[in-house]
Amino acid sequence: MALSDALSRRQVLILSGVALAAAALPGSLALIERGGAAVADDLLSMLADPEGAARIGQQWIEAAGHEPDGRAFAQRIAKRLRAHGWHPGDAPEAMHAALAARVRHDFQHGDMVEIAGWQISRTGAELCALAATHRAAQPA
Amino acid sequence: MFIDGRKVPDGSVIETDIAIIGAGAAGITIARALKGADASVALIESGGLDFDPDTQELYAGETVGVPYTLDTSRLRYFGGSTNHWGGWCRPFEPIDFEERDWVPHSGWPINRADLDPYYVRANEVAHVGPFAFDDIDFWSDGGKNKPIDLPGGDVVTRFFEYSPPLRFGVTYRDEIGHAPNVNTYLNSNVLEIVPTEDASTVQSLRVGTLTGRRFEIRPKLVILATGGIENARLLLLSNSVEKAGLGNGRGLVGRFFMEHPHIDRPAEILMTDPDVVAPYYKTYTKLNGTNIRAVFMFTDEYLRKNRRLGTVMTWYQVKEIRTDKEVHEQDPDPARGMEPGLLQLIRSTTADAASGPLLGMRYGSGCATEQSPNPDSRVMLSTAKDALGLNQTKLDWRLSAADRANLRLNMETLARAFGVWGQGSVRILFQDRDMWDEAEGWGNHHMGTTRMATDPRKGVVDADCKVHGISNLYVAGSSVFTTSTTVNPTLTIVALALRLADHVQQRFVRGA
Repeated sequence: MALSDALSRRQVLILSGVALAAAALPGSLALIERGGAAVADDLLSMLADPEGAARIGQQWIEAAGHEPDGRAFAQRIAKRLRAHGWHPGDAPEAMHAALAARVRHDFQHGDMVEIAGWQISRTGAELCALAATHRAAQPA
Repeated sequence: MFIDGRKVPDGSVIETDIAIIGAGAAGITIARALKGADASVALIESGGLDFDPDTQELYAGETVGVPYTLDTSRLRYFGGSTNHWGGWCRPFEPIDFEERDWVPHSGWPINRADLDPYYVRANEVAHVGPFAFDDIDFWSDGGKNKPIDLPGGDVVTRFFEYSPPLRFGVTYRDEIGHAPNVNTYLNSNVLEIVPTEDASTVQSLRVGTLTGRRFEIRPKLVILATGGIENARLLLLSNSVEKAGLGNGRGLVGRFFMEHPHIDRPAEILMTDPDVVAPYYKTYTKLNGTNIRAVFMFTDEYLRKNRRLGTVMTWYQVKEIRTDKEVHEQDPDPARGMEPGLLQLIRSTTADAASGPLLGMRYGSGCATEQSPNPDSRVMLSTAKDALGLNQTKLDWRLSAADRANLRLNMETLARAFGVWGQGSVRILFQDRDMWDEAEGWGNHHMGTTRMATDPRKGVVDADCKVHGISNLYVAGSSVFTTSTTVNPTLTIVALALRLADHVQQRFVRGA
């Protein structure tokens, strides 16, 4: 097993982050950017129907006047998932468990958005919005 | 025996112990309960044994509030509105009887326990079946049926049991006709309940027919049982002594009119696994010889904690959502296109992934909701006259923005419960706005116009359903309801009628 295979993505990110902490600031930002993109990819990989989610997300972005900023959606979701024990680089199962817990938490606390009358958890809606921005970024 | 009032000689005076005005669910129930008692009973019915348009026309009136059809929402012949009711039966919840500080004018002078023994008997009277209601095991069909256990303790599955629906006037016609102590006067309209000069006691009933006959019935005790609108109208019309109407010294007769606003499709529900939905949710289901239907209601704890009024929701299966084919549906709603994505979102987060082409099922819903008592929502007398020369009804039914907001909030609670459950999603179609749409329906449930209260300043009748200040006048029917509650009124009308019959019987037998 190669060293890189033995390390989780989380460990890689942490180690990379530590190594770069002493380096120049622009380099650090670049890594966070790459990490954010990975989180976004991981979140999108949770979706059984990314296209269907994107359609819902697009509708919400347009109706609510949200900035179609995929990175912001991903960061907000990731921040919430951390509150449920997930960390960047965790296995997909851990992300799925945290996502399920967060969605339930949203509903429990009435943190819902309305899209064409459907009552959707805020996290679910932002996941759809992330899918919408991702789709928009794909080459036609 | 049945006596056609049109053949009673003009000017006759008929003496009786007990007069029951109105042969609907309440009147027939009381007459049956008094069958064989040591008291003569006159059951006085405006109509005949069958529908007659001229008699029905006596129900015509005007509405000045929420548009309402006064003439078609009830029936004026032997059996009353049980001749067209749907048979929905369910006892009121304990909280319905309580004084709730967030519901002005709430609080019955009786509680659910007072009615419990009568509810069991009412089930028998209405041919409903065993008094099982929320006994989940009784309806489980050998363990096959399980209610959906929504987390949070806010929304709960409850059960309606159905009367066939029993046509009281048909089923109990012979029994009433052969009761030796009961004379039923058909085609006989009480024109006025006439009290003594001090208005403390009823001394006679002026009766008339559409053919012009006039006669008098002199009872020792009167039970007014003509329905939630007509009870108030007849008291208001009885104004030869008390100018404001009999029992209306404090201006309460006719006030607090309540209905059950009915909303078609207040919400839709998507569920990932149709197999968890027991048949009794989707339609009328016969189990243990009884037709039942499961509904969603809101728990007493939730209503108390969140200071809400109740709502009852029925639902039904509409459409499969699939990946392999589009199930045809004539519905131009553009939001339909979201449904596969939404079900997949649920499956991507809180529910299991789809194992085949079936993503889930869409369910439609209907609901009835409680309205808060409002003194300005009322039955009055119109200046227009009916064929008997009596003032017609003028109804000013009012619904408040708060009642509407309450229903919307209950729908949001339902959505939250489904979201936490994680296997479904709720779409709220009931809009968040101030005004009720005129097109939204009602249940033909007329309540509150002679409300029950211990304090005569707060109600027309006391806990025994006796009119405050009048020694021998009682009221039966949904007009005595202090609050509208959430579910259909007939079972409670019958239960209260049985309770009143017991009271009257005791009063006669024991001279109380």
